Amino acid sequence: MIERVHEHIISELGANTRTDTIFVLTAIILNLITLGINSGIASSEPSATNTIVMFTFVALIIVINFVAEIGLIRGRLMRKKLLTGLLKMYKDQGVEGYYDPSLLSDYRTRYNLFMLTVLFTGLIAIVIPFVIR
Amino acid sequence: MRISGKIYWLPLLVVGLTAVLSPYSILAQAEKTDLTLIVVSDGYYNVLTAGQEKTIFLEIGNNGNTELTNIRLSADSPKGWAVEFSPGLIDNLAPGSFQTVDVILRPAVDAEKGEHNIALIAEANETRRVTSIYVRVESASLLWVWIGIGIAALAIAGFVFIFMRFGRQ
Repeated sequence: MIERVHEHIISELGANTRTDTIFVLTAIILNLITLGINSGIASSEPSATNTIVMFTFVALIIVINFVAEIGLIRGRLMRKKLLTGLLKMYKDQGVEGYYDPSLLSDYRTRYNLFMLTVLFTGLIAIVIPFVIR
Repeated sequence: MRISGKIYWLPLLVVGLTAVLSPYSILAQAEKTDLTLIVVSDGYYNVLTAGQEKTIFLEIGNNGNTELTNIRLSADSPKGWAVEFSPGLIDNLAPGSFQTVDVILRPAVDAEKGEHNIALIAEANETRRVTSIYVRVESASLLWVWIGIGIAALAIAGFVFIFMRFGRQ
């Protein structure tokens, strides 16, 4: 049974990694695309239509980034829970020496860096078009 | 008799040789009027700020061989713009000489951001010349920058909130 639980935790960790990768990549790519579109709009002739389209894209950026950040925060917590369970399992089996607990803090740092990357590309995608305008 | 005959032909020989070797020095030059306008600029575009004046320099030259008189300067610019020349009138410009004129450009306060074309016209009694310059107008208002910063600040506040709200164990 313990082997099944171990496999389940491992597969959950794999799914968690894939989901978080999708969140990060989607957010960054959409931020960059929106940055390009809004910069193009900002440098064209000013009109009410252009302004509405620009603000719509800004709203889209904010929504995408909020979703990605919440997803990453939740992903980080989930990973921590899974790894804590895994460590406990290893400890119960007497093999905890093979898994360094400092990996937990390494993952935390990595997640924080991902979130910062998403946040700053989002902020740049918001601010740059307004500076151009 | 023979000596006086030679003296008689000598001036004719000199005049004939001169005419053959340098015909232009003998023929009268045709009158030529050539007014040139050169904008002295530090780049292809002159960057202006809406509502704020900028001075550029216009070099007016007379490349013809007759004097140009009463050169009046004017401009064809977008509506609401002011273009002034200092001096606005040049009484005369001798052949081969140049004069630099200050051109004071003042775009309208609500001038559209982007590129604009301004025609500079110099009209003398003898001839006329038009040249055009491209200027790029930039907005003086920082309103949009502040709007962008405001949205970014709200977004940061939102991220801090969700970090504190959803980051709890």
